[in-house]
Amino acid sequence: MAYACWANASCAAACAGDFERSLECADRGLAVVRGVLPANEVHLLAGRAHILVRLGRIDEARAAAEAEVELAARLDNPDLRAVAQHDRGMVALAEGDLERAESLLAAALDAGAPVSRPMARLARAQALLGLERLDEAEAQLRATALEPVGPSDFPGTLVPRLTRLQGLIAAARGDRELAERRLGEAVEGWRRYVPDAGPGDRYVATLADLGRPPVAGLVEPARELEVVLAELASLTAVAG
Amino acid sequence: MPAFSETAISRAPPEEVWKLLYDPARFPEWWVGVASVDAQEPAGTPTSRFSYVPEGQPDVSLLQLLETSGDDRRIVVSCLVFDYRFEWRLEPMGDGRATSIGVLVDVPEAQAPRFDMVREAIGRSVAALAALAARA
Repeated sequence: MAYACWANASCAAACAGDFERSLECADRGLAVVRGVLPANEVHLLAGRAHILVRLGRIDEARAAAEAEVELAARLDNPDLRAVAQHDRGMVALAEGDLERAESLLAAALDAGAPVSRPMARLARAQALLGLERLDEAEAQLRATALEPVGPSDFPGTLVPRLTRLQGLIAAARGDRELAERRLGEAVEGWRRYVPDAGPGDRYVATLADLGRPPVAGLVEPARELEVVLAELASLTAVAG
Repeated sequence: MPAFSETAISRAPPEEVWKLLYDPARFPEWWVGVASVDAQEPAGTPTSRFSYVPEGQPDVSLLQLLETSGDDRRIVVSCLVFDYRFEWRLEPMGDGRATSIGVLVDVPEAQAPRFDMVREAIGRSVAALAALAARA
């Protein structure tokens, strides 16, 4: 009961944009389950890692994700192990360790990790893009479109995410016209969701579908829009 | 319940068709009879409700539900006013450079007199979707 309370409080704080409070709640939950409920501890470590990434505290996020991987390995639960690989991969992506991110996300996908597979594919595509393995990145986008999509995959947000990566791949190939078009489409896609009515539905969707901390899949359309606008501006500046 | 299916082959990779199918705001570009779309729900909602204004009927707004399934690759659009149900599926073809687009349509008994008209419109819509994706 205490675990659920702290996990939910952590999620609610993250959905409200209070990531410091979210982290505090995750840590209170961790204190309750540590050494008692190891599977729940894995989930809270995952939440902690994702919150810390969001706060830009990458070293601590890496430590949390590695603790999650280590604990999942000790539990010898294939699903938890695959989830932990995914989470460690996401942290690696955030810190720019692209080789590691790509291999961990690939392993998690191959193992059937019960995470958002379309989102994991897009993250893997982003890592491949950074590694200049453009054909493989494009193949991941194609695979994304062929994954089953459920409510917790945030279907409405997948299109601008995928389109953005198409734009970045086009830019990496030197096709500026296509890059601008795709990034422009992504901007339009995110603009339709800003301002957002509130993330409450997303919170419920993730909790219900995956039983994982929704922090891991929090969608912030305004922030996504800012990122794509900056990338588009950067492309235009280079062109100019 | 009367039903029919339509298919088309697009010379676009699956992701281009997918982008159009997952984005109701772009339905007016290919779905015959859809003049405009509005009232889209915010990003990430488990299901997406939207309404569209039929061509030639600017005072009418028809509420729709777009659902996806985590178990397979179906995308289902249901008309919440007239109970039509459109179940879309995409299959990659060849080396993934082309896509087979299929739609299974359930027509409610009450709409049976419009069966042929709906089938003709959906046939044109599938073809338009295939062509639009190929131009993207």
